[in-house]
Amino acid sequence: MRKNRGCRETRNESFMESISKSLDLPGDTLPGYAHIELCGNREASVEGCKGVLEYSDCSVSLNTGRLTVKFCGSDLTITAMQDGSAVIKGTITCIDFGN
Amino acid sequence: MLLQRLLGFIFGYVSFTARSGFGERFINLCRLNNIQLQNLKSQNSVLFAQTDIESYKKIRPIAKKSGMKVKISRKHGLPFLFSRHKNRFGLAVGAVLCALFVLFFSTRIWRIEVTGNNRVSSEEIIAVFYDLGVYKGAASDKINASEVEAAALRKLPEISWLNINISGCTAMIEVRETVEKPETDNDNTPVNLVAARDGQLIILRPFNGTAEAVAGSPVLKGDLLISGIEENKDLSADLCRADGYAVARTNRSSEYLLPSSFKAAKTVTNKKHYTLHFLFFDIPLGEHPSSGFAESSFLSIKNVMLPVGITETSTLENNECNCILNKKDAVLLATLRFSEARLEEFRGMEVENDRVSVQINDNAVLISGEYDCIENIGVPSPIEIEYTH
Repeated sequence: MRKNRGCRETRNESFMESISKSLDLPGDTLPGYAHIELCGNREASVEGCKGVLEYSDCSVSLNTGRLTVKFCGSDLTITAMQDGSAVIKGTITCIDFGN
Repeated sequence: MLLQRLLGFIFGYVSFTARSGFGERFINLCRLNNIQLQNLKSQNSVLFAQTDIESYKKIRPIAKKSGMKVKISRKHGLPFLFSRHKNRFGLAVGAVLCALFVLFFSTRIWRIEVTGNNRVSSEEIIAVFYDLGVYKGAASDKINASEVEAAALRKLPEISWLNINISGCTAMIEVRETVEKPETDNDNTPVNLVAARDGQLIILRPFNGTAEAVAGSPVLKGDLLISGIEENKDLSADLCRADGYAVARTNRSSEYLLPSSFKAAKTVTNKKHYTLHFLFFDIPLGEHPSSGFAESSFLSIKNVMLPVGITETSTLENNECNCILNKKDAVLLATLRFSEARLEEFRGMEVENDRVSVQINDNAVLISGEYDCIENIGVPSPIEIEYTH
């Protein structure tokens, strides 16, 4: 039963993706996708953040629904966090994406 | 960011630390409970963050759930400032009074500047404007600039244009003065031109009238040089105002006597009097003199003059004293005064030769000089007319 629901969700997502592709809609309008903006390597704003998975001054890992985004660097600070968006400031050296 | 900090200062916020627990869970629970954490930083597994006062009140159960211990490190903003001084009523009253004072007095005029005047004194212009309601302490919003300008123009006939600009607490009066009518010689009274002193005529050039002397001839004081009677071709005569150049070589002599001891005025005291200005009050500090040299200075902040200042009035008191000069100083002073007097006497003349001698006695210094000058000796002399019936 759980397997069937998973298949249905995957089918729905691929169906949404195909509609998005055919209508030339931007990818961040789809549910489960985060919108990430970088300002150099000093600031990153993430929209669609669903929670913090890991937090220290050298790494911040965020849950964005389908993906986990991990910012590595130094002196990382979450300057604002509200309404599903987070702003991370500091020196960002790399960004990892995981499922 | 600036607006955020300003709002934070007005409504107040706290900086706190959270330690020993699950930091990520604490952050997520705060997010789920709509607690906005700002400037969230993690150092050595200690969270540093800021939040508003209301949110901090809700943070305790969340911290308990996540196993963290929260502690306020600093309180910021006006609510904490007020609560710290809530028992000091005088402070609050003083702050309110200060605000009212500034609000009220910022609507008043505290400085009046006059520019563009030369013949008409600033005091005269300020006095006219005082009568029209523009003075120190007057409410600037009650001044109707166009009406005041029109009324002031009527009261100041020597001013052709004026404008008043009120900028903050300063009233700037800009004026343009009328151009004075040049003096023209419209006197047509018939006159002769006669010699003012003895001499030898060098040039005689009549502009109006008939020449009665010739260049090179000697003339005595009072001799007729240019006649104001002009003969017509039909042998009738007309009277006119004789005018022209009568340049002659003349001889002048002058002397100056300076006694060795004489009386002179000497400044003995230089008294200073002060007047304090505060708003529209002038408070004299001590006895106030009726005259003297006054210098005012006012407090100002970034070129904005405040109605607080002081005027220093200096008065000089002169006493007569006996001056006794030695010979060298007496000669020097006599020469200086003699030269000054000659400078004024020989204005418009050319001195060809001069012979100056100095005689020094025990009691006085006498300087005498003889000069050969070239000068215009023609002066008008009225023609006496007798009417016979």
